[in-house]
Amino acid sequence: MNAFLYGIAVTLFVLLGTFAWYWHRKAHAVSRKGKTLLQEIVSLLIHDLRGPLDNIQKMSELMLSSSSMTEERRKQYTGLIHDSSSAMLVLINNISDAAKLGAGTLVIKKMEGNLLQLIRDRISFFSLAVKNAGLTMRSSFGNEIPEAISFDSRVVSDTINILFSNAIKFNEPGGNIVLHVFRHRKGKDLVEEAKQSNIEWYPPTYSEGSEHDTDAVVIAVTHSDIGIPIETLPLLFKKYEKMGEAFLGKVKQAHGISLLVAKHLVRHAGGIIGAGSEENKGTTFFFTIPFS
Amino acid sequence: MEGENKKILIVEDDADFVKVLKDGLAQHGFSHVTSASDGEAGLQKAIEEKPDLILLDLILPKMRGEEFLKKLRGHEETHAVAVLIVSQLSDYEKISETMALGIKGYLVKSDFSLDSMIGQIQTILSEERKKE
Repeated sequence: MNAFLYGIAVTLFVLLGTFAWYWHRKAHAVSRKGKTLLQEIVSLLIHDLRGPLDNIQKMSELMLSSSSMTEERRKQYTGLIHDSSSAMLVLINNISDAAKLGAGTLVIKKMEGNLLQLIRDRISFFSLAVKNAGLTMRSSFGNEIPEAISFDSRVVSDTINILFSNAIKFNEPGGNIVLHVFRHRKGKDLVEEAKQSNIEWYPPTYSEGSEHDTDAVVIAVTHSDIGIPIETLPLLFKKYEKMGEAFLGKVKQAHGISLLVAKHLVRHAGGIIGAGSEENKGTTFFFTIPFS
Repeated sequence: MEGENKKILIVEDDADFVKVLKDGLAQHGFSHVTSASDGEAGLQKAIEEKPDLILLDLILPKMRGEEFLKKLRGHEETHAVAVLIVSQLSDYEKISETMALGIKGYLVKSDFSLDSMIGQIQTILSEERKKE
């Protein structure tokens, strides 16, 4: 009996030890470069904040050192400083959301409100940045969107901020941004609904989120860019260690944690998020806001 | 002014930074400054314009900075063009790797004021002029 109990104890000890070792490895997953996940995230965040801050510093250096700057040039620089600082505020919101998501403290608070007004406020917030970037923006709102629905305004606001910021950052010179807001009906095919409503977008080839289909408001942001390969789209929503060198330059640099944050926000709120793209034409990112 | 006859090409996708750098260079007499926002366009411009100095970012659309450098060195017209890396990447490993590709220097953007960045550019061009 003692030997039997001893055997059980040893087995349990070994199993517990193996589990603890595995969990320790997973929680402190080491990438090929020997950095922890947290270090990689912090590194990317520092990079994303440093860029706009550095630009603000150098622009103000120029403004201070120039004795004969024209009013037009001064206005231009002030506009650029405005845009850089706005981008940083959006990023800081992302960091705050990411921290709450990571700590499991994000709470979805749905309250009845005017969704269309919130969207219009976001459009207005970004209109100056769009103009300064030399882009054009237009929007369309479908007919069947309810005036008042229950939703988490912080989730919707932050997700729109992320999609608009990326649409401005990634755009081609002289490009455009198109925002469509339309209604999805439970049981219907989203892509078909968009077609029937003459929505101009790049139909999604990737999406993820709640598997529970309900009526929802769809917000789709389309912008002109060099296009993102179809096989790369899912990677934009994945964790850092999966991004690696899978795709080049600006796509990796600029998306950073933003789409990862957007994905988790939308999922927590019960929606879905996804993207579609066409080479040398543009990309659409969309998400849904479910309502009953 | 010193910079008047020198051609500089900036290969960088941050349009705001390009604007600031161009204006800063203009204040110091550099009037022949062009730019490209991705590696492919940058390589094309380098072959066409034969600049005296290329300011190169490493994270670029379509072609990374390192690949751009290799292709630049592979072209007869551009194999000896002076290149100064101007990047936000600051890890030692990246800097060492890149120095081995035959560049004149590596500036971490946020470590330098605009004035000192332009100072470095002037120093490099001055050294290149002595070789001619």
